Amino acid sequence: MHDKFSDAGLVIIGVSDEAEQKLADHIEAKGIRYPVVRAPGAMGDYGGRFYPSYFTVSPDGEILTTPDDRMPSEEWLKKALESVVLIPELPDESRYDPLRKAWEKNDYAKVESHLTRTLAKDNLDDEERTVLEAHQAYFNSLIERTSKQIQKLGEGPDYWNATKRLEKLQKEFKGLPVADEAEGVLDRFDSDDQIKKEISASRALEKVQSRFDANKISQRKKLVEALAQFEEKFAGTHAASEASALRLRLAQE
Amino acid sequence: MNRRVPLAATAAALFAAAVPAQLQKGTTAPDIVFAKTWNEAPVSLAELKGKLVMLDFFATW
Repeated sequence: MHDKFSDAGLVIIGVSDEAEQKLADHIEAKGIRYPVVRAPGAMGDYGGRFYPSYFTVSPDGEILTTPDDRMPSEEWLKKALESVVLIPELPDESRYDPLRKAWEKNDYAKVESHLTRTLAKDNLDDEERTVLEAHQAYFNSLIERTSKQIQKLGEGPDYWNATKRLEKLQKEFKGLPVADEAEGVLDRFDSDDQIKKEISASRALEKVQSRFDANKISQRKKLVEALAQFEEKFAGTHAASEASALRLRLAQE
Repeated sequence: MNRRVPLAATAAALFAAAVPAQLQKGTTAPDIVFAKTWNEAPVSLAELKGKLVMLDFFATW
């Protein structure tokens, strides 16, 4: 699968926290050719509870599938890849360093100002112009996609996670009109009592979840009880339906 | 006064680390810095911005 879709922008990474030698032996014995990494603690950070656990992450860092969705199918991946627009290549030359740095830092205002300023020069050679124009096209599509994403986040129903993502986008796109779009949505959240209620319910759910370690059987039972109470107290909210889904999942395991 | 901030932050970090609630769809994937890599893997998840990434948490056993 990795070979089949890697040109289209898919990267499959095997992640493990086992000993280095063990992993090296495993890779050799199985003839694994896709990237494998050792990352102690990552499984815990992501909250995976069984092996294998798959998480799919979008080009801008959003979790698209969790282990609850099992392994994404080929059809699903194909569809998801349609939205992937690859950052054009940037030749390994020092004249591209300012642009490279701006991209790496997610400093999009700087990306834009650098592109606009440099492309306005008349003494640009053909190669540099081609490279920068490709980056400008990519930048424009990024802005377009981000604007759509902001609209979608504004529709809910997970207003708390939307708030966190919008704040991040606002920071990354500071100085550009999309940052104002994100701010506008956040202001709307702030002035809508129903949305404020949804947000405080989601925050309360986060707190409930953080009180118990679902990996410990003794605490899992308490978590299930706390979730049931939560559902009653916050009935009708998005967080209550999330709590219910989590409770059913925990009860099954 | 100033001393209380890092203490509170540490307590929150410890608490969060002990609590592996599964991350949900639509949330931001936290960065992972890789301790060791094979087969031309990048050094961190953040490096893969712009790609569709499938993380396969596996066990050799």
